[in-house]
Amino acid sequence: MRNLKMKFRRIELEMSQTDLAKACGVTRQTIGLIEAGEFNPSINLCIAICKALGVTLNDLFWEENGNENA
Amino acid sequence: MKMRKSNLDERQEQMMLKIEHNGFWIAFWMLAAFMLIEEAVSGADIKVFGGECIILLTISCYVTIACLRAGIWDRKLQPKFTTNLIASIIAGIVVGLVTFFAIHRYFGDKIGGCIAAAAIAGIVTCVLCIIALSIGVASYKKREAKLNEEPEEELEEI
Repeated sequence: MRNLKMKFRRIELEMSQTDLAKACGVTRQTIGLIEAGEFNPSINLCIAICKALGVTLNDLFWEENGNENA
Repeated sequence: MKMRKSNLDERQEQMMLKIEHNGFWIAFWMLAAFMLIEEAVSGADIKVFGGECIILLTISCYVTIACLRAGIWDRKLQPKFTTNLIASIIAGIVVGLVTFFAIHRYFGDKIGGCIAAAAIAGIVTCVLCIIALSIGVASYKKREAKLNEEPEEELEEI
C-alpha cells in the first residue's frame, strides 16, 4: 500500500524524490517505489529517510488499526 | 494446483536468495572456466561444447538485458571507458592464451604462427568487447536517465 505520509512530508519540505534520494544515498526509483508501496525498505533505510525528513519512524511507518499507510 | 504458502520467514528468504545467488555465479564461472580449459587443453571445437556455449550465452544475455532494463550496471565497477578498456584487455589476454594453447597442440613447431593467431584472436576479442561494453554503457546511461526522471505528479495526484 502507498506511503502517503512519507510523500506528504517530503512535499511539505519542498523536496523532490531526487533530493530525498540523495539525502538517503539511494536512487530516485527506490524512493518512488517506497512511496508507491511497491518496495519494503530495510530498517536502516527507513531510519535514513526519517532523518532526512526530520520525523520519527512512528510518524512515517506506524499505522493505527493495523493498516499500512493509506 | 493451489500455490503453497512459503515455509520461509523474511530472514530465511534473504538467506535463500543469497544461496541461490552464490549458486548461480559458481555455476556461471565454472561453466565458463570449463569451456576455456577444454578449448585450451583439447582444442575442442564448437560441436563438442556447443550446448554449454548456448547455455552460457543465454544466461549472459538474460543477465545483461535484465540489468540494463532495471538501470543497473555493476556493484563495484563504474560505467567508464577506462574500466571497459581494462576488462576488454583482460578478455583479450584470456582468449589469446586459450587460442595459443589450442593451436599449439596442432602446430607446435610453428611458434611464430601460434603467437600471431593468438594475438589476432586476442585483439579481435578486445575490440569486440570494448564495442559491446560501450554500447552497454550508452544503453545503461539512457535507461538510468529515464528511470531517474522526476515524476510530474505531486499534490494534485494525492
